[in-house]
Amino acid sequence: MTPLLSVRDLRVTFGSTQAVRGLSFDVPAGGTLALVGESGSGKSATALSILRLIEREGGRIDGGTITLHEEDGPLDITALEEDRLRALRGNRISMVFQEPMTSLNPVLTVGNQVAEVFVRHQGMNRKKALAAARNALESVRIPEPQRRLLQYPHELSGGLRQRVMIAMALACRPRLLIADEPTTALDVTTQAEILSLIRELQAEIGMAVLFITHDMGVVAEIADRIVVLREGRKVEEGVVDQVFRAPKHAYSQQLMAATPKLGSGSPNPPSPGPRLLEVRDLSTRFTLGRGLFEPRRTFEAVRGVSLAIGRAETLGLVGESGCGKSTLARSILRLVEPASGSILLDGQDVMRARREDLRSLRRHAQMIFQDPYASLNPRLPVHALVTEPARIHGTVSTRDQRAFAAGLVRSVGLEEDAVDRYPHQFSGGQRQRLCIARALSVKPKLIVADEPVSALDVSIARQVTDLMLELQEREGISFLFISHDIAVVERVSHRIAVMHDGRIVETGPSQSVLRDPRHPYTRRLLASVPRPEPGHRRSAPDGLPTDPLPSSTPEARLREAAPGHFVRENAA
Amino acid sequence: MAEATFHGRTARPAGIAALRRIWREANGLQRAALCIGLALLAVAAFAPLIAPHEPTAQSLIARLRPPIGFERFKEGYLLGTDELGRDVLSRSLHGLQLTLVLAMLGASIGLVLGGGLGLLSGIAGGTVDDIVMAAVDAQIAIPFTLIALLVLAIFGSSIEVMVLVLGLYGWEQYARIVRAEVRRLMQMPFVEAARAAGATGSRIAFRHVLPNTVSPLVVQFTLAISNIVLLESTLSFLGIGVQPPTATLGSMVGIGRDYMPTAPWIVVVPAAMILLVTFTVQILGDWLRDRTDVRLIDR
Repeated sequence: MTPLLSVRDLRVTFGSTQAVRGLSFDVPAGGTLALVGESGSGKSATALSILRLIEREGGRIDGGTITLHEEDGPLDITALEEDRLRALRGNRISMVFQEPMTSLNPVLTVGNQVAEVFVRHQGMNRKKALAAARNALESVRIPEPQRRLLQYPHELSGGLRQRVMIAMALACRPRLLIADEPTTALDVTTQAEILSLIRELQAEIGMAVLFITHDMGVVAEIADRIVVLREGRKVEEGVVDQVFRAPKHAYSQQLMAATPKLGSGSPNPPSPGPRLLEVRDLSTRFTLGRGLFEPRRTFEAVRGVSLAIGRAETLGLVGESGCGKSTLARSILRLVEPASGSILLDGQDVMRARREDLRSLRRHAQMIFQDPYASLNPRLPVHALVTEPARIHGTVSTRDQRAFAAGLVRSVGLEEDAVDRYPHQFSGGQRQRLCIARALSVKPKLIVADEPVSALDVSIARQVTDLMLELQEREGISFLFISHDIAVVERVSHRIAVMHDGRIVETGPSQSVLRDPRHPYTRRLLASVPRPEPGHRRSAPDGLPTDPLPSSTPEARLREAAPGHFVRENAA
Repeated sequence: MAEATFHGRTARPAGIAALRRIWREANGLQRAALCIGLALLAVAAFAPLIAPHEPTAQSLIARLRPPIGFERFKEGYLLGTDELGRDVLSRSLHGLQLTLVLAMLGASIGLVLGGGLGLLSGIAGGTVDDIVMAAVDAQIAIPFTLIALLVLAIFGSSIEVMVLVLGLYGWEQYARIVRAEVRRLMQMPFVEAARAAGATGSRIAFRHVLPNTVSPLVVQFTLAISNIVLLESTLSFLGIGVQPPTATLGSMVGIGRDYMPTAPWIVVVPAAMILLVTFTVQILGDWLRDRTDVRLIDR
């Protein structure tokens, strides 16, 4: 059988760097091929080359062929003129991008944007195109398609926006859909829905899918074949089952090993001791609308949360975007002012602390942020950055600063000469190490880590979490580890708290919560996590619980379901 | 290899070695600008020594004489004479001195005033922000020439008042630029990280926020210098700037305008100097911005 798309010896360069170095693969008609690799492996450059959008990004195809096998003969995309390419894009081959938030034009209605595809490629008039747009939205299972036509992108959630993108991509029933990390920016439950949607539509239309991702779980979920990329070269290709069961190349093995798998165990809990952090009934509200004529509304991001962390213990806080987990973290450190509740850190009352006391209290609790690129001041050298908390608290003098910094960067596994460099000279993983070094400079008792590895590649993320575990072992630091990735949380946490809609709905020892989830939300979350085991593929869509969750009322109390394992239940 | 370049650029050897390195790393345009800039500064500083005549010395029998190489050229008046028979070269040199002083002082006052208010406004937010921004809006709404006229009419025209008026010019642009940058930077995780580390407000302002606003400020500063030179000539033209017979480049252009068809050199010489000054300042400003940006150090 001839494949639908053949890429042969593709070479792509950006300036003087080679992004893709002689890559060959086939996408079978109607099948799904996954291009897998870490950042910089050339997977997106490959995708953009297929649509010849690479020139717009400043890249150049240096060699090789990309052949689309049409009914009326093969078509070499690398040699097409611009107007023939335009007819191809969005029509025969279309693409879904990673960022649903920015891929839609914010000032046009959804209806106009979807209809445009029909006007452009099928020459429909406006009225017909709008009707077709409505059907397109319906086909991607968007509820109330008629109403959505008149809405603007900001009125839709991330998941709905990605559905709109897919509706646009599939409007002309393309033969090939290129999906470039289409679910990376989405929550796991939304991701599961989008993946099953893509699978269903693929069966309906009979199109081929080129799926680009760094997430092995997603690959196992959706692909038939897999191509593993590294530094622009193919290191392994094969049927998904085979590659997952017995990866041949060392890099694939390493990638598999680094991929966090749910159910691979948690660290042993530390011996029970006095509590380091105790939070009771913490609530945080935001005021929305500050305008003259706007009514003041308040939004409660954190609603009566209680939690405790022991010494040298890690509490994993899991939840989807917007559930209030970051606000909770900032409230505990009083970077955001909580409305009510109490916070005891090492026996000291954080809520009642005045400004000066708060400043010295902050020595004991440090924070690590999600974006390692933005959390280091770009204008300061490393020795000034990592020692800043210590300088503020006067525990190191200007004279000793450099030597102290050298010790710190060594303790997080970087070379000592890093102290004279600037943040932009480091990779993402190295920067996150610098953030950890900075937190360590004041020997904190607690480190609050807000999605510390979400922006990193799996193998780098693995190294960073290993470092955190090692530091806990060595220095006895407690962690509040926040993440939307349950598998990562499982690996580092002694206990887990699941947050939903501003409340903790379930908490307990990691294994107890993950093996015996009691709250419906926890169950749904666990069911949505893609597993890097092809055998586990869900028979969509009924594999996913979608029934509405019971909204937890204020009367709902936490009930002990198993030793130390609490679940929120409605009083009724 | 990477190691060597890396140390070469971060270590800061003092004195001649540093100057030599700066020169080596500059491109042709920057080298030219640096030379012209230094020459202009030197000429301005030693104007009284270099100038062949007193800038105000009139010689009515030698009115409107053209520069060297033209017919009717008069010995000793290299670039010709103006309508009162004053030496254009001498007046331009003295004018350059005064104009440079006015522009530099004016732009610096605007930078400190506007930048400071912008920083305050961006960090404090709330009522302070509202007040500063209301003042900015008011400033934008009223033509600055009008304000300058009012101030100069009330306090009379002297060099000191002139400097203050020119300093006031453009403060609102600095304020808006700095405020916008500050507000953006205050949202950055590294500012939050500093807060979480226990940093005080002033530490955040001066160590984390202000250094990151340098790039747009330098650009604005170079634009302001050019604008101030133009404003000064406008005011001189309206008769409320630096009073005649004292020469500034702007007033020379303003007065010479009437003689453009018959004696263009009266305008051309000071205008060329204005051009040189603004050009040099722009190039050097961009260069300064790039050199102070550590992010441009080779990876």
